Amino acid sequence: MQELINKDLFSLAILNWIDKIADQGIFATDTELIIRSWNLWLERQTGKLSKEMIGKKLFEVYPELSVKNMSTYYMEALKGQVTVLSQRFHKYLIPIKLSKSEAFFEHMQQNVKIAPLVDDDKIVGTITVIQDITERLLRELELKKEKDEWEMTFNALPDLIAIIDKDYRMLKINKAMAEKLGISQERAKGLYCYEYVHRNKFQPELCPHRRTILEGKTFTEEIYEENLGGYYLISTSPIYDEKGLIRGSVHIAHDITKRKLAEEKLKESEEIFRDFLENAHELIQSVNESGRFLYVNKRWKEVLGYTDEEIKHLTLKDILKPESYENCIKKFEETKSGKVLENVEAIFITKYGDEIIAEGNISPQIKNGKFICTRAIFRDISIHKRIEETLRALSVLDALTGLYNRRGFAAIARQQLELAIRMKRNAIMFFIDIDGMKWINDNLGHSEGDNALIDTANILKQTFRTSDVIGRIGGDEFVVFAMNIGKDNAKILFKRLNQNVNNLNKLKKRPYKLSLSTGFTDIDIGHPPTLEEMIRKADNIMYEQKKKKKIQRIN
Amino acid sequence: MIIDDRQKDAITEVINIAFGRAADSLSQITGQRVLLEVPKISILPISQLVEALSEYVKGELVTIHQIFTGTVSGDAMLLLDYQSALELNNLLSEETLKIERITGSARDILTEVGNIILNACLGTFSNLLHFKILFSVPRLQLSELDTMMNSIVIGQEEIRYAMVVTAKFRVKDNEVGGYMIIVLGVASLDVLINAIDKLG
Repeated sequence: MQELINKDLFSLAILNWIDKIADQGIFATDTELIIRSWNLWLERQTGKLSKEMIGKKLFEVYPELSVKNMSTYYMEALKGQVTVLSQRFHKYLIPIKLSKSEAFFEHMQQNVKIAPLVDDDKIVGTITVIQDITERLLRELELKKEKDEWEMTFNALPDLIAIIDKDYRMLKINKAMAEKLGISQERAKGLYCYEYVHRNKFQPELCPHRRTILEGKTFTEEIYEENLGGYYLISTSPIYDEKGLIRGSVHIAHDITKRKLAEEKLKESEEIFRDFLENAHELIQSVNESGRFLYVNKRWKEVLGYTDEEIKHLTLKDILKPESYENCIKKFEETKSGKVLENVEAIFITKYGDEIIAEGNISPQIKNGKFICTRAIFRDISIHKRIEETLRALSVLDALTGLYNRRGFAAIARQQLELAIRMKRNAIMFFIDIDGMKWINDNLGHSEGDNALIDTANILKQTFRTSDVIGRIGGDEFVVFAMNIGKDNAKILFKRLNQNVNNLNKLKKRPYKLSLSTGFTDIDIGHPPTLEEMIRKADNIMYEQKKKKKIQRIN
Repeated sequence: MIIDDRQKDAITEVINIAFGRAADSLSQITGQRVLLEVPKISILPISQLVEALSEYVKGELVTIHQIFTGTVSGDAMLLLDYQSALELNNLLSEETLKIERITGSARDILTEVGNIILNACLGTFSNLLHFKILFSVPRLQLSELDTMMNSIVIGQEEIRYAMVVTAKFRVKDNEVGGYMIIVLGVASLDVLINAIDKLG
């Protein structure tokens, strides 16, 4: 029917028909604006029956129409013009009160058309069509409310949001974005984002928007945008039109400048740290639970000669000398409980079979109570070791006891022996051995063994004269070369020695009783012996004594 | 169909006055000064209409048609591109938040605005030439240009030629711009030219 009203000019012929079935209010007047027709819809809505209305003047029934200046439109209609009155400006023509309980509006909201009524090409009156749009308006208001809320949210978000069409034009930007760009939200409309936001003549190759448009998926990208003053995490998601075609994308740019700067700082300090590790002169490694290498530094690779690829297949076992392996693994296991070990010595075997003696510290990395790896810093002490050995070889003193070692003893005692022979003086070679040394070492440990050696050395120093040459020539074997004494004096000396041993044992400082076996020999002037012969002889005599002691103990 | 320069000038003058009144109406509604360009008049075969109009407008259009019959008959149109239609609607709404789609209410507003402008234009036109013209109810159409052109109905005449009058208007300080177009059928053109000759 709407079409019919639109298409044809009104005529009396269709009026009767419209009168009955219309779902809109329709009334007609003559040229005097006296009501000539009042349809069913109007009867229902106004409560005024057509028989009451017909014959009455429109402006007398509804005087408010004069107030609203409606007469102009009716005059125009009588001249042949059509007038459309939209609710927006005029609200309503015929006042129809709505029931209070449901009413947002006091009156029914109306769109109105006022047109000339034509019969046989002659204007015979006016016709007015009233459309009730109250419900539609309420729906629109509801939608608008939702939209306002959405808009408020859109503008309240601190992220920069832009809706961009397929041609890279900004359709809508939120407040945060407008403020960042320094333009109004209105002005941004239609501007090309690559021109205005990125200051580019063309859209960038890697633009996530482009990919979103092409693939219809959401993409995220971290970018640095000078024009926006920082780093942004941009995500673009497709938006579709009513037909389901991609219309553009919505961009959400989250400011990550702070995080990025912090990350960069961290990276920088990490780089410094890594550089420090990489270029350290020490061998640095971290090893996981199964002995595989998580990290080794440059120096490590240089010294051990392995490439990165080879290291992937290596375990701790592959780079340790078998003799060193057990000790190292033991230490490695110890660290798993959180222990930090210092001055651990290890012998590494390079790819080419060379031995590297290293010393270092091992510490575990434990996270949330769980073992992650051990970190070790080793120094290559091979050179030190070699020097140490050379020095040891050149040394004349025994490091543990401070007495002469075999080498020192031999040098000094040999000189004294020669002197004694030339001067035809007597001299005595004593041989002293600690009883049960093996037992002490095995049962009480090597440190107790060391104590026994030190105690013995001290007793020897106490017992003999300062001019006598005292040496430790083997594990628990001591020798003393004393000039200008005879066999008788030797016995006195032994007595003093035993006395000193007893004194020490009385102090009960040790978990064992120190016991020494001794033997001695003097010089036969007729057949002067060599130093070695004297030592061997004294040793044999000591051995005889030791045997006797054992037999006595058994008996 | 040929019209000489004198006739063309005379038509331009009549149209100018009519469009001037229409612009005045628009200015009253919007409360803004409305700038109007001098109307251009051309007589074209109907088949060339789309091409001729596409010079002025592109994309989706909002058109308010008012068909008129009487001494002369034709279709008077107010042509706005989509964006301008939105702007014009927003200009007339008191709302702070602007709409982005043409809603039902926006259609009503634009129809009334179109009606006022076209009535002003055609009313003046018929007054000046002492024509008796009857109007149909205006209708708003939302479509692409060619779809819109196909829907033009001019009385019952078979249309071969049409006089196209275009006048661009701009609402000052706003992006709103559009065209008013009157398409007349051949028979009406004859009547119009005769009437103008009589005026002269």
